[in-house]
Amino acid sequence: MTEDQQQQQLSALLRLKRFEQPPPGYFDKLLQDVHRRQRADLLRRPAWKLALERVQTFFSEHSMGYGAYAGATTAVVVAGLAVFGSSFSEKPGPATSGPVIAKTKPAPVNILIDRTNSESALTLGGGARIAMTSLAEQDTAVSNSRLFPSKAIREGVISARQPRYIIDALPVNYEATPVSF
Amino acid sequence: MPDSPESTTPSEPTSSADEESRRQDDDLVARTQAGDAGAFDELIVKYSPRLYGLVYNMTSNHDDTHDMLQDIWSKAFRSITTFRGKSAFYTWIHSIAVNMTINFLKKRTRRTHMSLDDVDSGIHHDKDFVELAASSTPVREANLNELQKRLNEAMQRLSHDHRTVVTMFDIQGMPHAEIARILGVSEGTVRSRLFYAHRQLQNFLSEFLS
Repeated sequence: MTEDQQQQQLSALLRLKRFEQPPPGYFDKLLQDVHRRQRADLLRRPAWKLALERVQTFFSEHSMGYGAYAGATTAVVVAGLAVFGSSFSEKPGPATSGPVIAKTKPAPVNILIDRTNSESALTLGGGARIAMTSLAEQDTAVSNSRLFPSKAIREGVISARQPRYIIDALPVNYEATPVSF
Repeated sequence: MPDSPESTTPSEPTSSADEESRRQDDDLVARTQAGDAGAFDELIVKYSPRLYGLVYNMTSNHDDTHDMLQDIWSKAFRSITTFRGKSAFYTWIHSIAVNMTINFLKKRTRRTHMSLDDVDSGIHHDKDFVELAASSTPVREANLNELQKRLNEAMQRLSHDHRTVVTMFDIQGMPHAEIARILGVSEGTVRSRLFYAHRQLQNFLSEFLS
């Protein structure tokens, strides 16, 4: 057998490999897999690359002259420098002593009155016991405002300072009735 | 040189068909670059069968081929904004495929199992394949399965460069000039590689050629 004949036979044998094809429907699946891969690639890409691409796309869609590009670039640089500079100037230096009042936070004022200290008990004849209590301002104000809102607002703290009497642990209603003689 | 590309490329497209195909490709590429993902899908559908043959005959493994095709198309999609149309899209995508496959083969550890027998046993029932196989080898009673296996083994014993040119020329039917453009080498280099690759294959497959 000559070399040419051998060559032709070899070529014919190698052409048999053209029949080796993937199963039917394979390329549809491949297309789906490529789409999936593209989405995965997109998620893996860093944010700055995406931002850069969007900027490039924006400029490619809006065709501008070279002067406009230069102007836009200058504007961006100036704006960036302005922001950068202002952030530096706002920082207090080590030697400058600003107002120190705000640095010390005042302690919160507790408006509740300690009942144990402000409460005193009186014992009357017959074993009756009277406890005199100065309630907290807000307690009285709230209770009064429920009954007489407008009056409570007008009198304010004054009504709150009125003493409250308790006999045998039963509170006595000291509030004024709407009926007056 | 014993190579005769005309004899092994019976279905070479005419130049007008090539030009029409290239115009279509240019249009699809331009639409893809403008953000039309459907246009890129059309390119995938058009070229995947040829790329599959190229990659599969270089790797001899269907799973690897499937993974490689996804990588190739992903890379092509990422890079298509840089495609300026200096070469045909056909050449460009084949260059990506060949380079990525050769890099993959360099990294891949030696496989002991070839998937060819498992996956392609179906073609033994293909009438055209059986007839062509019977006429291609003087060993008429040759076991087709054994023939496929030996062909595959012979291909895998070639170097990456030799396997690439054999795949593109003998199996895919590309002309020398196109192979040279894709590989970025001269036509003389392509012919030289084919010559030595064929000599090796004749030795590996001597029992089917005598």
